[in-house]
Parts: sequence; structure tokens; C-alpha cells
Amino acid sequence: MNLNILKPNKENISIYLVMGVGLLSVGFIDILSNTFFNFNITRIFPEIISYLSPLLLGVFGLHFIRIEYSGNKTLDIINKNLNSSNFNAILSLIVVFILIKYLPLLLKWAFFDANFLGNTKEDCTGDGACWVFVKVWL
Amino acid sequence: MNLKNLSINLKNKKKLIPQVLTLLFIVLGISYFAFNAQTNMGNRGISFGYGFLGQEASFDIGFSLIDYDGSHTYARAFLVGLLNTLLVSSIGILIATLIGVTVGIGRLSSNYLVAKFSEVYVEVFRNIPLLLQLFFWYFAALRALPLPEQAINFYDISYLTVKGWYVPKFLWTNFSVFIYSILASIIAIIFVSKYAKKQREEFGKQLPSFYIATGLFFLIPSLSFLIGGVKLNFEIPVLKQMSTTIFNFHGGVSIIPELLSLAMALSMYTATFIAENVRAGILGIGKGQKEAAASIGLTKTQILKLVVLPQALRIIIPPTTNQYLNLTKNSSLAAAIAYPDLVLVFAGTALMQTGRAIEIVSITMGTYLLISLSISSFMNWYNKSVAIKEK
Repeated sequence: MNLNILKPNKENISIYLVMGVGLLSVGFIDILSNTFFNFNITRIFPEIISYLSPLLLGVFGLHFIRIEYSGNKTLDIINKNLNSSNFNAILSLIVVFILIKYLPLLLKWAFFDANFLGNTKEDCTGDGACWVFVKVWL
Repeated sequence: MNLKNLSINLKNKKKLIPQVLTLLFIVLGISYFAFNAQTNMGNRGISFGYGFLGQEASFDIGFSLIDYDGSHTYARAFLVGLLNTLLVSSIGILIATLIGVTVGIGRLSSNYLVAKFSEVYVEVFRNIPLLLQLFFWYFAALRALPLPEQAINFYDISYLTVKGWYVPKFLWTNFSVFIYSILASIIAIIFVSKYAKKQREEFGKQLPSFYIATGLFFLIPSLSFLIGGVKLNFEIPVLKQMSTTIFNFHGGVSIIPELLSLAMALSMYTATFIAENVRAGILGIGKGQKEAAASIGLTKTQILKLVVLPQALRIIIPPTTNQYLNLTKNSSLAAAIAYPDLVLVFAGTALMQTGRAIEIVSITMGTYLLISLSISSFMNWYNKSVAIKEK
């Protein structure tokens, strides 16, 4: 068996897929636990590596699943649209990580911590947006 | 100019009559308004004149780039406001251009996520009024920052708090020598690039001019540290306890939240329009050009850099000039969050104190006109320099 880590090929597709998807999911578990549970699973490493670990793991993972003409339709679509080169892989990961980090904050501000009921400024007790005046205006 | 066109052709009296009538109406209208203002001002005992500029202003301004307190004159207060406006506009223009170009190229990316993300960003920020975005950044985003004692720490040199962003202050000795060294390096780079161009055109030699230029840019200023006696020290902000519960940072430079949120809102809003201009410019280059470039073996980055962008710039620059002017004029929305810009300081506080509406409003209008005209003449010059040179 000939495993070339730098150039994934179609013959050993299952091994590459397991490696790639595994690394990718470790990266995602890392950033999710960091964002929502305040728990850094890579804290044994130096600060800079631990900070960039989701990105590094994700880039290696996406590198392993970048197999041209793999015969798997889903994999081909992913590779064509999100993962055509290392640069595109980094861009895709950064976009996903930005969404994971900031979308919950925005939703929390706009909906979960916001105040909808009431008529005056004093009714706005939460930390989020104060929508009561929209209702008053309507 | 052709003087023949200016001279009045007396034979053509039919065309002359409406022109004289229009001129008469304009002169009459202006003199009516001037007379009206004069009588009204005379009735109320208001005199006209710019002498108040030398008087003591006796109000304080929260943020200023030059020395200012209440004992300075109104002219000095005007200068403070003008500098604050110029500061926020130039920061805004810089960031808006960076974000705009990145997002504009991102919208055309083959990467589905990047293209969609850029599209959502453009559509969201373009369609929300600027004033609302300003309120969002000021009242929602920056108010959520922590108090000084729990400041967000950037490597122990810079701190982000609800009271502003504290950054280290640069303390220079022999600063002028450093500026001269930068000028010298720029002149050297121009000389090298001209020499490299000559070598390429006459002898076909390729000099590594980019590496030479980068080397020169870092070498000559660093020589000024070794030989010219230039020294750079940093004053790092330090947390100090004011009383039992109140903490604050001392030293360093404090960037106030008003400036942060105004620069943020202006650049995020204008960047969407610049992004659309960039996208239009790139799409405006024929598909055949890109295919021809690809067929001679250029990479995607090379195609963008060498074939598409030089031509796209001609389409991008004129509407982008428009956006720069919009950004500068929109910076007067600063009054809504009390950032002390020209409108708030001069056309607000100074106008309220002196009551000289005509003088102050005319100075403010003239200043904005001057800023806009200088931006547009600079951009026109730049547009000419990238235009097709027809022989």
C-alpha cells in the first residue's frame, strides 16, 4: 500500500476520507467547545498554536479530502465549490468560523436578550436590543 | 479657451434676450436676499464680520489632535474640528477601500461560501441607513465592551475597554531625520524602478526590482536609527486605581469610542458601494481577455493582477471617487453620537455661542467644498494616470 500524504489519490480514498473528516471534526469540536463551553481542548500547546488549532486542523483535513474525480458526487461538489485549493480551504474555514463565533452573539443581542414588551424606556431591562419603540411607533 | 465663442454676436439678438433676462433675474434674486438679510440683521442689531474668530472660545472639546482648551480662540476650535473631520474621513476611506476591494473580489470568487458571505454583507450593510448603523456600533457593539479593570488585553500593550481603545504612544527623538530618511528611500525606489524599466526595455534584462525596493524601504529608515540618532520609545498604557471602585488607564493614546464607531460605520457602509464598483469593473472586462490570458499560461492571480485589474481600474475609479466624497460628507453624522467634528464643534457649539449664523455656516460650507474639491481633483489626476495613453 502506497500512502502519499502530500498527494491524496483515489486508490486509498477511504483512508484519506477517514483522516480528513476526522481532522476536520476535531477542528470543529475545538472551536465549538471554545465558543460555547469556554473549554479549550488544545490548551496544552503554546498559545499561538492553540489559538490557530481549528484552522490548522481544518486545512489539513480539507487537504486530505481534496481528491479529484473521486467518483463520489457529494465529495466532488464540496471540492469544487469550497475546497479547490489550500487558499480556498482557508477562506471557507474562516467564513465558517466567523459565523460560528459572531452569529450567536448577534442573535442573542437581537432576539434572546432583547425586549419586546412594554411601552417606555424603563421596560428595556435586558442587555440586548430595545425593540419596544418599534411597537409603539406601529 | 476659444475667445471667439465668448464674444457676443450682436446679429443674433434672439439668443441674447433670454440670456440677459436670466442674468437679470439671478442678480435681482441674490440682491433681494442680501438686502433682506442686511435689513433683518440691522433691525436686530447684529453686525456682520469674521472678527469673532480671534475671540476666546471658552468651551472644551472632548477629543483633539492639537493642544486645545477653553482659553484658545474660535479659529483654533475650527481647526480642531477640521482636523477631527479629516482624521475620521481618512481612516474611513482607507478601511473602506481595503474592505471594498476584498469583498468585491470575494463576490466573484469560485468559493461558494465566500461569494455568498460577501453578497450577504453587501446587501445587509447597503440597505440599512447609515445613521442606524452608527447607532448600532455606538450603542450596541461598543457599549458591550468590558470596564477598564476587565479590559480586553492585546499582549499587555493595548487595551480595549468601554471607555475607548488604549494604544501605546510613540515618543520620537529626531523625528524629522526619520521623515527625511523615508523621503530618501521613496526617491531611491523611484530611481531604481526607472533604471529597471530602462534595462528591461533596452537590454531585455529582468532586475528583481520588487525585492530591491522592499530592501531599500526598510534599509534606509533603519540606517537613520543607527546613524541619524533617531530613537523610538513607547509609552504603554497602565491601569491605575482612582478610588475603591473606579479604575482607569493612564499614559498611551486613547482612541475614543465615538471615533471608533464612526470610522467603523462609515467604512462598513461605504465599503459595500466600493465592493459593487469593483465587481462591476472586473465584470466589465471581456471574458475573452481572461481566456486569452489563461491560454498563454498565466495563473489566476497573474490574470487578475496583470490583465484584469489595470483595465478594471479605469471603470472603478470614477464611481469610487463619488463614494469617497460621500464618506467625507457623511462624516458630519458625527453630531448624532457627539464626536467633535467640524459640524458639531463649529456649526454647533460655536454657532450657538456667537449667534453668527451666516459667517459660520459659510465657513463650514466652504471648508466642505474645499475638502471635496481636493479629493476629486486628486482622484481625477489618478484616473488620468491609469487611463489609456493614446498616441
